[in-house]
Amino acid sequence: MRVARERLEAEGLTVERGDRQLLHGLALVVESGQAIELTGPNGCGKTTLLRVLAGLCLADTGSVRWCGSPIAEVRPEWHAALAWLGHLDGLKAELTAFDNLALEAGVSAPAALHALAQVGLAAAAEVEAGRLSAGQRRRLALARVLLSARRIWLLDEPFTALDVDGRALVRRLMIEHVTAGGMLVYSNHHDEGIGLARRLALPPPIEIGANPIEIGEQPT
Amino acid sequence: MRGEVSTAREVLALLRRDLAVLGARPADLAQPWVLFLIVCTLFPLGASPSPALLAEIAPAVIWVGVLLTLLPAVEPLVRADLQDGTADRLLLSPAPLPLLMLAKATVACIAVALPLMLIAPVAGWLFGLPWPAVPVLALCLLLGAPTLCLLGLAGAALVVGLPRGGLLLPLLLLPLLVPVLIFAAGAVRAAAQGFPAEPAIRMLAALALLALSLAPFAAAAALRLRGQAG
Repeated sequence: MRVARERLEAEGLTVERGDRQLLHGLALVVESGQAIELTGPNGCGKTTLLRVLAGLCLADTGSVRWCGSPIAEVRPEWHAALAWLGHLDGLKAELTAFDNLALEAGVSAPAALHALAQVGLAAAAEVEAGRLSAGQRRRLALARVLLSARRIWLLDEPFTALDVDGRALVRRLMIEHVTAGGMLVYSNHHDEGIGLARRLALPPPIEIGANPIEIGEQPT
Repeated sequence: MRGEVSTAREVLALLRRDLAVLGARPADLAQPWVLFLIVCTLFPLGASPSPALLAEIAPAVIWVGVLLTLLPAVEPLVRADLQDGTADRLLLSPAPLPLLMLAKATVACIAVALPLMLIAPVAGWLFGLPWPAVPVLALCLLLGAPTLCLLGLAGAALVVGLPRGGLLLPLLLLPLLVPVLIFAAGAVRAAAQGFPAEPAIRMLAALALLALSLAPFAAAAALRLRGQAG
């Protein structure tokens, strides 16, 4: 039996958007039981970094590796390990909250109901997602992340649109995930993240032509 | 083996979800064939109602009607996914993306093409097409309508939501659609005039196979590009 330590690593990431350079050779490592919080001003590339890590975007330089292999080579394994929450919730407005979860691959009805209860939406199970409030939709999208039982969560602004209770709930779910050995990378512009996450502050973009600066963690 | 099982599950989940979304809006499902019936009703009113003329123009009218009603109905399937973030989730699915795109084309066939396949032969009969041409029309629809769904899906995945994408889509697809129109209407016309329809039907089948083998990959590549930009 193969016991490969699960590990997401990125190094030398640089992304160019028009005449601006983002990330400037960023490196990071996440292992089992670790979390990274991405912070930084608007437009500094938090979302872009998450999309590059997920494999939705290609970086102009640098590489992202899952368990040692570039993610392009182990795409099915990487995507089977990954749960994604983008700034769009990825919910179908026409379907009820329950159906949005229960029609996912490999989700049973009791599991979907349990996940709805976990995020405080048990009473809204039969309401169409399009009629939920923005905060409720965010909770529903998080319920789908929970249900997916994936090892690594990439969450783009998970606290957006949530009330105080909702933010506390998300913090608790994230802490439970990480302490159970999961991995987590999330972006955050609220003051309160989770204490056990390492904070990675992204610098502002620079005009191309200036000297790139090395930031972030070096691979260990 | 386990990978194949999870791929099958992902594909089935996409089919179930998309069909459930369409089932939640039955009025939208009715739109293409209502539009098609309107086209078929207006032509005899606008042209001369002479039976000979109607039988003559029937293949062209029916196929133009199918083209014009089917493509705008396929486009929203892709537009919704791009707008609500489902496209990103398809890109991050462990299942191969071209397979998911093929499943999406299947949804389009069931929801949009199937009703037209059922109605159009009836419309042909009402237009006074001679009997041997009606089954040929049905066969051509069976081959041609899924081809249009596949092409429409790939085109929509490439341009929907871009600035002026609405204008770009017909321009992009036109050269690909014209052969389908020519051979499909040609087969029906040949059958109506008592000539063999088989050569045109074979060409149509070749076009269908070509679309089936290439369009899912084109749609997948287009969606990846959209993910790169978004």
